Amino acid sequence: MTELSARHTIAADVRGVRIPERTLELLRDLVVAHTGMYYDDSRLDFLRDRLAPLVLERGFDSFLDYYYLLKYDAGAQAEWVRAIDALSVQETYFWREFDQVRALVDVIMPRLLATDRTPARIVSVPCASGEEPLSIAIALDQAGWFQRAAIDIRAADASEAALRRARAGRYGNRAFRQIPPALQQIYFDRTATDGGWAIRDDIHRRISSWTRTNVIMRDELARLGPCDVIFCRNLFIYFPPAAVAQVVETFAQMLASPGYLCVAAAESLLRTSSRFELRELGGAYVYVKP
Amino acid sequence: MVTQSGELGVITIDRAGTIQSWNDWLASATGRDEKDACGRALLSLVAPGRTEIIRAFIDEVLSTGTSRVLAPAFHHWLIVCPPRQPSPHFTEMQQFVTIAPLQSEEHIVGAMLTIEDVTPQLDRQRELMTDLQRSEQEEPSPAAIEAVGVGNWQLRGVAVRNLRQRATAAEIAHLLDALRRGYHDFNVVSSALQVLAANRDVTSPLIELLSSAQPDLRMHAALALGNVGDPAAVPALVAALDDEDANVRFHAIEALGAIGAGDAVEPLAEIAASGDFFLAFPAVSALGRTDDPRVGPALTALLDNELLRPAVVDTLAGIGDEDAVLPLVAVLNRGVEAEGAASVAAALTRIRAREDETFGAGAHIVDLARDAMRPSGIRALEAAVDENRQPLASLITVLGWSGVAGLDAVVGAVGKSDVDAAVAEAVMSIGRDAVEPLVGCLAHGDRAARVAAASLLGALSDSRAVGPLIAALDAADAELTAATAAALAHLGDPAALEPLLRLFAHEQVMVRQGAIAAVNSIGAAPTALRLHSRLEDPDARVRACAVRVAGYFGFEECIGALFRALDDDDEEVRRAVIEQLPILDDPRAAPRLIDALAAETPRNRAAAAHALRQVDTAAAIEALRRALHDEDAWVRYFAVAALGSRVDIETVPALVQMAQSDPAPHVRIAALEMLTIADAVIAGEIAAPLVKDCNPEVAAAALTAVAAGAHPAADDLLEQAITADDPFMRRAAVRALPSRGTPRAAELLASAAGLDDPADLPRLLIDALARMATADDATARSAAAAALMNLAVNAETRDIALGAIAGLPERVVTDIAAALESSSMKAKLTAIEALARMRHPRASEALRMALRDQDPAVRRAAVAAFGRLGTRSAAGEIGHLRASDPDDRVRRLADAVCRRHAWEERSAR
Repeated sequence: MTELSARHTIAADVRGVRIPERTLELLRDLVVAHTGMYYDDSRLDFLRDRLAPLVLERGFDSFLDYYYLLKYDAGAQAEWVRAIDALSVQETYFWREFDQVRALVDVIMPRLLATDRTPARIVSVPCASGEEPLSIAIALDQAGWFQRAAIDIRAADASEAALRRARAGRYGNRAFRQIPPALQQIYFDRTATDGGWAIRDDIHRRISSWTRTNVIMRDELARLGPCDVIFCRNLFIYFPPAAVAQVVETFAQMLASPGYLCVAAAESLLRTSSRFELRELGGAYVYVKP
Repeated sequence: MVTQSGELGVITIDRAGTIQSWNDWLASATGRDEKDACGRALLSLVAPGRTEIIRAFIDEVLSTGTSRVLAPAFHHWLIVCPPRQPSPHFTEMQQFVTIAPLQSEEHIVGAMLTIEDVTPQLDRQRELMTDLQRSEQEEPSPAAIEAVGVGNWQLRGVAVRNLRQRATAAEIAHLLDALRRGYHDFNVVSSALQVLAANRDVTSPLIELLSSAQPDLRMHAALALGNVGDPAAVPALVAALDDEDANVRFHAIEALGAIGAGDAVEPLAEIAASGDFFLAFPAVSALGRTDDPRVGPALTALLDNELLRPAVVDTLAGIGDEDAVLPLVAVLNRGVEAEGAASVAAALTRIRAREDETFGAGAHIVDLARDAMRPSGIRALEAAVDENRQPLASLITVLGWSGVAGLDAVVGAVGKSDVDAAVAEAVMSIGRDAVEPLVGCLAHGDRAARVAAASLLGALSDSRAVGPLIAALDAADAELTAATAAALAHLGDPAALEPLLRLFAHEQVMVRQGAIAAVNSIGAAPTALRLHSRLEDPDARVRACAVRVAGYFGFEECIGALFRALDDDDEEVRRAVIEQLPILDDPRAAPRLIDALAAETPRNRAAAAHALRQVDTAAAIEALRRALHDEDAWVRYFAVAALGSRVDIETVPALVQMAQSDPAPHVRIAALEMLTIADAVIAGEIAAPLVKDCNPEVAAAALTAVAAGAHPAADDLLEQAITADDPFMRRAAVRALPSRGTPRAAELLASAAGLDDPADLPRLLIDALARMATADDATARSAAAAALMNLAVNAETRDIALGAIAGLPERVVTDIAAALESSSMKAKLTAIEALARMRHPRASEALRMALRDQDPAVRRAAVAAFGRLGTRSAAGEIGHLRASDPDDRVRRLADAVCRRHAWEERSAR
């Protein structure tokens, strides 16, 4: 594996692919402009390793050719879908950071119902391979909310590959590391072919749409609204502050008042936007648009 | 010559330009006392007609934080008043004025102006000039030579002003008091004193103030002495360690630390050991800033003090050497708590890194630590890892030094991305014993741990890992499968061949390519047998992978199938063959490639054009020329690149047209690059107007072509680009300039040293200057070397610049060594470091000059450099310094170097 510092000489080789000087930095700038995902110098290896197979598959022997493809080719949009698939970190699991889902069930849903918000509109973006929106659906089902209110759950992700897995609704054992085993037994069926688990069809259908959405594209993102609650977790850690601010502003426009935005514990918006207030709801921190 | 009184006017103003303080000298010179001046706008007192320019200077100082000097030759005066003594030549006082920012911690809160009456000096200068003119035929007097022998008026001014003056204690006390009243922030006072200290002796009056009856003034004097940093203050500051006021003692300790006074080691160590909570910590900190051999033993003796231990460990991390290793490990062995273990681990790894960098002795530090470590020490480290204490990487690293005993904790950290380098180092250090635990991690860890375990097992190359890795190939996770395939590639075991071949059908390209690489690494013999059938596999992905492997090895029994695959229904399979054709030793290959370039799909035509770069026949070149007119941009792009150095005069018109007007920017860029290779002069002519192209990447490529060519406006275009508003163009200019290799280009690069946008510009600049420093033109080379040295003196760019200098060729040694003659201490020390890093006999020879420098700090740096290099030819001179250098610290360092390299006998002779 080539050392990062070697890139500052003339060229380096990664699995036979040339990296002309500064090409990774050019690609990094292009990727952040197109997707919002930022790779600082310490993560350029990740960018290189994820894109190298696409460079090779395309028949190129230089990352510069691939940069030109993404930047200038008439068919670049299709290649961007593949690049985003390659760059997406899709390691997630059911019941991940569950406090906010519990707050939705225990605190936010009653508030929405009290103000006659119907249907209650919940957006999960990025939804990866579906674990988050399905966790929300399971939790709402457990609390009996589907019998008491109309609820519209929309899921979106930039990666078509992730969405394919989400639409298929099949999961391996590692996706269940956090969810109580009893719930796994209730909501999932063993699949005969691959030893995995399939989400129960009625729960899967609670997700009204699985949409490919690049959150950095304002129009694409806005089409997921209007809504009452947004779950957008473990995304902003990859974004530079300007991109976070842009996305949060779009969220603010999508949300009704009051509207609820759930981000991961490590992602603070206090310096990013004045449109939201951080509140503790049912033991979880949630940003509220007044 | 020393003037006997502090003849200096001092004014301080706030950011609005309102006078905050006005000293007695000014009151005497102007007839306006402080009470009258304070609260007025400074500009209201400035000479009529001068307010705008003075306002501009003050604004510049307040906004940039840099100082300004108003030389009397241009500005004559700031505030009109008569000279202090009657002048035969001037009716107004001629003033040398400095305007310097007053800084609190983060902000510029105002400015300080100093006014010096230089009328007597200018009178004297005029008289000397007159004398000289009168006696042109006579031998000039030494005084005249001294005063006017320098041609440049600025330098002459410096010569005239090179009279060290002494401020009075009363002046300094007044300034301290005024600034304290105005700002309540001692940083402001310090910055004011720094300005004064530039050309006046402030140390002596401050020492006098250390004996003041007012504790407050003593305290501020001590603090100020630390900021001034004059070693002459050390005895007085050591005496102040016994001051009755604790605040004075505190600031005396701080000051001694700032000065780094070796003579203060023992009293500071006594204070640290005294248990005085208020003073012990600053004493440890001060010791840490003192470069003296006595500091290490003084500090390690304090490791038993539980209160001080964290501070002592941190300090040893910064300055400790091999002598600190055993006492630090002893702390671990005593069963220190988790936080303490983490800080000891951090200290040990920093000492290892420093010793490695300085003496190449990192392994020795590791050996010392390993031999001294006891099970209780390892348990302390493991407990800290369990609690996820930081720096976790250091804990893992030190556990790795301990071998198998630390294995569990190391393996437990596998997959944690923030410590992956430390884990890898530790695993490689532990070796084969890590295989079984890693296999367990591969089977049962979380996702990240499994991926990392696969990679580590590959790196260990132990055959026991083959089976578990093969089992892991079936993971649903593509990244894990790819990592496992890569690990099996390292192991190269034929047992993995069949499972890897099965991955040819994997949906993820990352996995397929990992499998191809692994199969290729296993070798030809077992592969050929299994590959043939896969060339006919119903799955196109399998066929494409098989083609790539067959082409890589060039299996004879597969050649027929490869050519048949050129008619495969699947575009990717055909493309795989096209990519392999150039490396097949078969006469049909080139014609089939040329056919593909004419008749295939656009993507495959592009692949054919790319592949033809490796085919050197007339027919191939002719086909590539035709492809320059292909409707597909990628075909044109690769055709241009494939022609490369084979571009001839007949191809140039097509390339010119492409460079000027191809609809695809990347094709234009490629055309410009190839034109430059074919004919730099033509390329320069074509490219000059394109420097203003609306596509910045095309414009940058044009700039590169212009730099390589001979266009008469090339230098001007490059200068425009390097001073452009657009950082992208500045960057492009910096990258393009070295190819010119002319003094003007070096000058332009040197001028760009002050730019810091884009953020990577300094690094690019250093790379460019390093290339320029190898130019044939000696003037350009020297200019580039000098610019690199300037960047090496700058703290922000020092490391990168020194790294670049280290790689420069022998003929630049003289240019780098020139800095040893500099009047700047910083430049001299940087030159020593640079020459040491060049590691060339001529550089070492130049470095020996520094052993004879007048300044002991320079001699010490040179001794340290030879200590790192271990240059035996310098042993005699260093031995001589050990015995007879007038500076105690030089002698001690020389002694340490002689002992480390066993130069005893030689130096004794």
